[in-house]
Amino acid sequence: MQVSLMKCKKMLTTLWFIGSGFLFILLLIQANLGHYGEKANEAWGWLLPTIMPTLMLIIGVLVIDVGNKEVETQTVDRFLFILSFILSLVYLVGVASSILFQPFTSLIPLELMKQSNFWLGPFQGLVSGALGAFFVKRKQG
Amino acid sequence: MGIKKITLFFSVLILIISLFISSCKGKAESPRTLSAPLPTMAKPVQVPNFLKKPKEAPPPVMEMEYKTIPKVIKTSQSKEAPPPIAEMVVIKAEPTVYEIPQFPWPPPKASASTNIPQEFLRKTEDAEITLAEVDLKLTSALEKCGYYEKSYFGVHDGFALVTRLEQINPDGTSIDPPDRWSIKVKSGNFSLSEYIKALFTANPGHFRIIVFICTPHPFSQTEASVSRDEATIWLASGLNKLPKTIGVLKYSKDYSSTALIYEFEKPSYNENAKTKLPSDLSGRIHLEKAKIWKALEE
Repeated sequence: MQVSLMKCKKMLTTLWFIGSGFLFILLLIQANLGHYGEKANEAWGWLLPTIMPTLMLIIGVLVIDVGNKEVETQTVDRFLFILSFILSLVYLVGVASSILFQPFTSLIPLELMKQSNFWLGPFQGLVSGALGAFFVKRKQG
Repeated sequence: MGIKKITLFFSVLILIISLFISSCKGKAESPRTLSAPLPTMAKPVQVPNFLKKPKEAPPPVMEMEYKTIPKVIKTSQSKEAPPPIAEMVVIKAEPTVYEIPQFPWPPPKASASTNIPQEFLRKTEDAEITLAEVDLKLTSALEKCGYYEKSYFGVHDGFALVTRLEQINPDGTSIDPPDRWSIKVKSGNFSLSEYIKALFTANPGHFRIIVFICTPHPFSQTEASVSRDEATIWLASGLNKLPKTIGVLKYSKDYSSTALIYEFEKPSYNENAKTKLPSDLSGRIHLEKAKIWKALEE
């Protein structure tokens, strides 16, 4: 079953910008209120590499699509879209959990963030792969 | 002829091999006797004399024997008469029994300090008391306030009484146990407001160690500050009770009792505790908030 590529792109872009914006604001408030003390730069050093590559991929595709009228008529496999959307959602929830669960753990916040890199790294690869495939595997409508 | 030659050859060969093997065995057994001088080997013969009487010697002495024997052998080679092993054991066993750990002197820079009024420690102005009685007064006051763990150090003609590291509120009051004695900053009970506070704020932790110093000598404090970890070690490295040799000293009017407050602040989860110099509170306020002042006053 095919779905509109433009519609899928909009939904994925919305998901990623809302999720990343939430994480960015969350960390900004924490850093400004001194939650990380003198090590706020380490917290930023953890967050930015987890969201920026995917955001850059999305923005890159959006820029390329500007003025391309063919995109509006293109379709993509529905399964691929759902897979990309769910993987993106779970990944963003995973990143957020590393921040939101800080008060519940005995680990110091930066330790928790560093530990989450072990499973976030491979997960990020899966998400990037799914999103890349989603944009490449599109079909003409 | 051929068979005879072969038989002769093999018999000679077997003879050579057997001689070679026997000479090898001899070399393996003899090097000590050949290389080591006889007197050196003769002197360690004393060892069995000690080993023959294991019941007379206490267990630590037996342990010491094995350590000191090589020294005896070495000194014998330098032609100096080695000290008897028994003497060495006594020398090594003598200290530690009456050794009183000394508090760093002059004391490290404290966050705050205050003198304990003489009338708190003496029943009447002219009453003659000993340092043991001063200690009793201090420890009973501390125990009323929950400070059950303490340790003692020697200072010039007096003693230092160190309390356990406790976690305090910024106003100087002690946090309720068990968080009071934890080195981890308390997180509070779970509620939405506590969660948001823990999520966004640094949740700084405040810690305190109180050191009472009783000495007739005036003293200043060094510029060197003490870290929380170093101060925590004080409790374990001091004595569990005031030694009699110090306790019997008379607490004359020259004596004064000073409370040194060492306060530490952990600014955020990710940072180590730092000595707070100076404290936001005075030494007396610290004692009042800890309820020690009132307990001493009673």
